[in-house]
Amino acid sequence: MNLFSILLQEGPAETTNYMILGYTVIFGVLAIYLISLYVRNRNLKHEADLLEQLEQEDEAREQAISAGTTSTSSMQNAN
Amino acid sequence: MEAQKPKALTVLDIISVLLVAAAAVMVFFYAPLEAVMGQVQRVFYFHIANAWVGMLGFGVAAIAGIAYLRTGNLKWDVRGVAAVEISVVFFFVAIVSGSIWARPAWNTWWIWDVRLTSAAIAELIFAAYLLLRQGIEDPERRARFGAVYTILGFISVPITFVSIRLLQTIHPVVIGGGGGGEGGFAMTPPMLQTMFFSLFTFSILFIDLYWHRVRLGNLSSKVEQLRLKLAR
Repeated sequence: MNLFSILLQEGPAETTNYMILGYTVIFGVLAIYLISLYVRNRNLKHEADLLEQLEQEDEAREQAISAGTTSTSSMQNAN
Repeated sequence: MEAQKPKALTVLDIISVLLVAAAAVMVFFYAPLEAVMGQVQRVFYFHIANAWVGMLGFGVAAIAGIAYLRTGNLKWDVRGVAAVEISVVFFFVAIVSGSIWARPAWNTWWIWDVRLTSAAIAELIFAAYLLLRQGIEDPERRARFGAVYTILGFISVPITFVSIRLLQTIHPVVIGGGGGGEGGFAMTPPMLQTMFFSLFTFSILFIDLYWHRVRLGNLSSKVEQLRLKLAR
């Protein structure tokens, strides 16, 4: 094959770099989204656990207060 | 929210990963090299699959919006926002990957063509939906706003889809267009098989991600309710 025929040769354009860039974006954004789902899920679980704990403490405190009120009023009644 | 991850969801996770791997193998090793554009044409398979998932999710969100307006059940709001979020991500990838393909095919990264413009508008409409929601504190008001917004926003999707079929455009019409437009190409059977397999794969991936995102939304609602309860 001489130089002339090489220059006139028709073939696919050299676009490999664009393909690599394209798939880097496709898989990169998908990976970032998956990580964001995981992180948000983990943070929300932590927050839910914490809030449930606070709720239980609140309920326990309210029960203790109401029990204290009941015993005080029963003592007053006895007097 | 269910504390334990359902087994079916784990199975779906595995199936999704395997399907994406199989689709990638088909794209890189099964589909032939396109005669004019070369390797960059391989971006097309996942580009179209991303665009499909984007449009699918916007449709699901509109259906969820209608369901919320009919029932008033907040679970539809959770489902609507889940669909929009996933679709905004996938549609963004479709737009960017299309732009990367356009650089060697059209000799430009971007052109204000009717398809590209309508796709960008659809993306911005739904990205704005995610931002605007955050400004509304009352869950019912937010859900009502979201429902109406997604239904109206969905109008942009058929406009984007039919734009290249009704108006003169540089964008190739891949399905039912005979490979017209700038950079259009006639697909061989292996190319078609790869394209449809990619569409199927991304549909399954959407279902998988949607399930995860709905679970996340349910957890978020639970946290919001606990916060309101403790604030009283």
